Amino acid sequence: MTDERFTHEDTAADRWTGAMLEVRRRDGAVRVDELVDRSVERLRTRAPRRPFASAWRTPLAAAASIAVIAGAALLFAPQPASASALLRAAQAAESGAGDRRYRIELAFPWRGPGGDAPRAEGTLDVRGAAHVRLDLAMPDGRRLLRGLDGATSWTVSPSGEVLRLPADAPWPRFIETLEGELLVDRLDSLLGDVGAFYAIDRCDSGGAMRLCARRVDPSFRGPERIELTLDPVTKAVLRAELSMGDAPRPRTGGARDEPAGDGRRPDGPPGAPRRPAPPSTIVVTRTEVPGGAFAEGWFAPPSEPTRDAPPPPDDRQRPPHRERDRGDRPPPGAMPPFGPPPRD
Amino acid sequence: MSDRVPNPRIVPAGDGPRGASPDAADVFAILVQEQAERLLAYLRATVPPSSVDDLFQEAVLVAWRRLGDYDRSRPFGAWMRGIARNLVMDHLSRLGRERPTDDALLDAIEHRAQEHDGADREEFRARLERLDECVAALPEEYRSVIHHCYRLDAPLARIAAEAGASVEAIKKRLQRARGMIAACMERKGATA
Repeated sequence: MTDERFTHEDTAADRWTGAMLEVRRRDGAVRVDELVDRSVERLRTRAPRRPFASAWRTPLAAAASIAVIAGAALLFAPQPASASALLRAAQAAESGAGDRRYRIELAFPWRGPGGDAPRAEGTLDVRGAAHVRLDLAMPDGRRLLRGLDGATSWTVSPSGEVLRLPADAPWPRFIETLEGELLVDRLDSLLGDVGAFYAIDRCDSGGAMRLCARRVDPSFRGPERIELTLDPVTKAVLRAELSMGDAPRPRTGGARDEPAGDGRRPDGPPGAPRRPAPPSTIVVTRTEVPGGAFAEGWFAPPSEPTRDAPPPPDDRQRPPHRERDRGDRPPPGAMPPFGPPPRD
Repeated sequence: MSDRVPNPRIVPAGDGPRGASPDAADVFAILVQEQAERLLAYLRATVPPSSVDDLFQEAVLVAWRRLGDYDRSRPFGAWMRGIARNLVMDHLSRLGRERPTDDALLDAIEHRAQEHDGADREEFRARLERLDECVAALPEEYRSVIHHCYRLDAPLARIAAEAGASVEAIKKRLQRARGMIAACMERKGATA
């Protein structure tokens, strides 16, 4: 045994560990499946029409090939598609255009004595990225109504006054993606994040085609778990349940909830007395658009905005969601006029 | 589970040409998909990153053409790596051995790769995930260089400048960090 032998072993161990780190970093399940697909597609187009012709040269080779093919076919043909393949199919299905309506349900983590967790419910109507209408009923009876009609962003104040918002005004946190875009409008982006930062498994239940995703990248600050129910034919997302994990809880005793030290934007109206904790669970369910398409003017404000919405309090310190975002995010233009309600 | 019995969860999507009645390419794709991450690890250990995808695809193409030569008594992954090894040697010779690799080193890397032949794809991915725990357990100065190098893709010169150290010192720090990660993985029963 020589020193050279040890050198080779050490070098190999070092390179293998580096390779594992690179695979972990660069070769996520979605990318690997795409690479395999490209490779197989390439052999479909480049290989001879009878790719096994050379294998039939000898009976032994033929028998080996038949055994491999037949064995694998018997083992795998009845099995369902892989989780990553389904995720890619869902991304493709969700990347299309058209009118969409989603039912939104928010459950907040705080639970009062003997009561259920506060909930908000409503609908989100979407036509592309430039036409959006969010209508949420808050547990305290208030209504959050906000829209984007092309270049016009609007909202309705608690007194019923229609107010103009900057076109790039941020949405309430609970309906935004980590990139600051509308969660449901960008469902394909959400699925992309699932592919990159989550471990995914098939978790079919009751005949429904489902994917369960668990966040594995600690630098990614998305939901802790995401459960997707897919249309078995189109692979479109019928329902997405986002569990946020350990969200900060409001203080007890009715203390005022100040903006978090990390600069998170309060989702309440200007001057709102308290900022509740973000929802612990968000459920988004695809529902039918009445008549198949939204009426003309559905996304327009109920009347001409009378004035601009008041500017938000200082909220210039939005934290980066992950390393690559650091410093990339524009400052938010305005805060929503009101958000999840205070709790007493 | 041996890689001779691939994980059934990797079956390609049920829709489209690769449907419930798979043709030969479908079955081959299943076998390749099962081995994909491990083949990529082998390539990343042997060639520059810019060559990895091309060599992966080339290995798949050659394996497909030579499937009749496959000996079922051997793990499919090892057979694929054998094909990849020839491609790697050819590729490195064309690059003028930009990254010195000889037979003995390739043997040693193959030995490392074989330690994962008994795992299926899911197990191998689980081992990759355990890397995060081992990275997190590193002392700060080592965790930082791993983070900058492998997560942020920062060039060594920039890491060195930010750390106020020489490039050689950073290389050595990275090497030591990888050694600690490998030891950590062994303790976890997941050889890196």
